[in-house]
Amino acid sequence: MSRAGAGRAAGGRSGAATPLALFADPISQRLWTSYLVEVEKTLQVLPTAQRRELLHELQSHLLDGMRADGAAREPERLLNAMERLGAPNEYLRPLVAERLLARASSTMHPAAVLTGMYHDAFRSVGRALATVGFSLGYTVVALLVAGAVLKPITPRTIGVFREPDGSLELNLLLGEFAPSVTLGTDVLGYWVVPAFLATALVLYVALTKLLPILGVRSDVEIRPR
Amino acid sequence: MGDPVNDDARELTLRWESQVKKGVLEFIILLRLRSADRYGYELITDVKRAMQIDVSEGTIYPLLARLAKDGLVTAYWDEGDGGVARKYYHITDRGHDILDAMQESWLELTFAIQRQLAQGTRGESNRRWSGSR
Repeated sequence: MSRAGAGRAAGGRSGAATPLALFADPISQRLWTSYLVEVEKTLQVLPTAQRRELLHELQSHLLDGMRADGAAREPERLLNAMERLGAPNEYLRPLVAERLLARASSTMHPAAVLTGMYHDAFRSVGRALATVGFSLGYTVVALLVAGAVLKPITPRTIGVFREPDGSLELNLLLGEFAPSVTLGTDVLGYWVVPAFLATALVLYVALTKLLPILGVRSDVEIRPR
Repeated sequence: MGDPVNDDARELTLRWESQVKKGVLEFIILLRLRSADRYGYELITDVKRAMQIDVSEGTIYPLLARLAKDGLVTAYWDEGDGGVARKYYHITDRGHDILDAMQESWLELTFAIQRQLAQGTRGESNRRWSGSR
């Protein structure tokens, strides 16, 4: 890495984000460019001056990280520095959301409000999806248990049926809501009761074991050493 | 295979420890800035080492931005070693005032906890003592 190149890469607020012949190894050059593109993409909603300032700060951080790294090869040093810095769309998103919400609050512009809310929601979209997934999972557990209980009462409408065309169909509570529907041959008979209960139990245990992933996640993620 | 009871206790302790450390990050950053102006990389590597935490280094930038927005720090660019320009953070007068208040609050909290710990130890000894009679 050339000293002049490093200076240009992180050299103040007005410089361009594109590095100029920073690295001897083309792999490092590609890694660097792709990381910075990711940073720019994450920060694109910020005003240009703010975006450039933060971009230069992160470039400076990466160069310092590389200098402190003991790895022999340049691309490895850069990769290690990037890994320690983190994924831009994770550590920068809180900042982007916070600034957008502040801007929305001060300008009162509907577009700014919508963008701010979208970015804030995106921070927890994974958690929201997980909640929906868990809700669906527990609903299936409840349906399986209900199916097992109701099978002796409505044996012709709950179970696994082979249709006249040879396809298999699983019916849980269909008979209760659509008694007029004609089903094919009952494949499992009353064995469907333990099968449903066992499946419900496995699903319930698996979902419940995974439940802690719904725990609240803060912007700053500290991993115990 | 590890002992599941001990593993669970260790996990709970580590989670609690992470929460505590997370809560004092801004306080630590301001404390580090009180002695000298520092740049992001220097700050986060210091904090990681001092607090023995593993955190994405990038998380310091939203924190510093928040401190700047609240007027507790200002920033300026300066050329450091090897010709790399760095953005240095400087604690403001308001930052010093807030830090003094935080420090007072921290001392009160730690004093209260120390008192609780001492009482807990005494209570434990009393119970043991009366149980042995």
